[in-house]
Amino acid sequence: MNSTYTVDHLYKSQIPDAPSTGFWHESHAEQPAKFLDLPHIAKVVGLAFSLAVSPVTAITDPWLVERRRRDAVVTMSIYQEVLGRFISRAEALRIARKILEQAERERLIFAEYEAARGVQWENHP
Amino acid sequence: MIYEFPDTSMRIRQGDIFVGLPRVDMSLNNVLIVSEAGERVAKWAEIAAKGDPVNIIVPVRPVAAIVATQDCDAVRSRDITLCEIRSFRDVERKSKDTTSAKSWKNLITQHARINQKWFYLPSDDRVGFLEKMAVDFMVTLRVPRTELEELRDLRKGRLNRLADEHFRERIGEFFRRYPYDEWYPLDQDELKAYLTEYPDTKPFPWQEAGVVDGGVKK
Repeated sequence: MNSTYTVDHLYKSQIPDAPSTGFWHESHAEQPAKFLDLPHIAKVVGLAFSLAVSPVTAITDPWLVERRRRDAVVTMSIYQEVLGRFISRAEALRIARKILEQAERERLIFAEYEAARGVQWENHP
Repeated sequence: MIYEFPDTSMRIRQGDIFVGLPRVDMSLNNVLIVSEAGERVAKWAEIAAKGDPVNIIVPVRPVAAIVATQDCDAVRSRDITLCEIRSFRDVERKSKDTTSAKSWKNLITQHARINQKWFYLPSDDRVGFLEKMAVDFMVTLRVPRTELEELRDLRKGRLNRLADEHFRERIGEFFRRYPYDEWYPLDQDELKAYLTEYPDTKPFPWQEAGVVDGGVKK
């Protein structure tokens, strides 16, 4: 059975009696502890400094872009309060059934297509 | 065959086979919105543009599925991902008319040579597989881990050690693959032969007539 774990090499190198497979961890809250080593801090400071002195136009602020995008969505939603056309519950259930059947049918079509274009085993020993 | 039958007290692991998990199919063209005002049908693009959560009706049906999530995540993560299991003839359409043992042997042992989208599961009454089955790596389901743990009586079996190792490698290999145009390294004679089988193929610039290595035309 699978007994592999996600290995964090930084942890492994810092703790002398770490297990050979390292420690599995999922929490990002522990990440800052790793940045206490000086070479890493120097690297981060170097990067921060280079960003600080770069021309402003060279960097896109992802937070600003995200906020603008959200603002645009909010503006749009004012004009789109009603989505689609009203239908009866019976029609909704009928459409749901159709979606399921169509999904099955389309999957079969793709399977047929792939089978037709795949490796032709009769040509192989 | 290749299965084990874990007790319901045993934790969920990769390779566990469940029968009766929900597979949801939704259409992006016909989204059935439920609200206090009644049912409406809309396109997903409209809902996405609005940006608000909505309640919708989706068709769902119980299917067989195998745990794809690796063991360490299956203990802790919020969700468990599974791949659907269907009849082998349905997943691999090349087998729809296969009857002889020799032909079956050729199909089933392709794993060693080709990165297929399926993983073969032999029939076994105790798991509930009355015919040859296959895991379809293309169809995944996601369910909450703690709630699946409460439904461990739906677990009908588990791959044995050898099959599980194979499954683990196969699923990893499948999701690691990348698309490329397989004809790109063919020389002109090989490409000519390839074109007879796949006439729609567009040759690369270095495969055009008169082009030699380095892109210099003779």
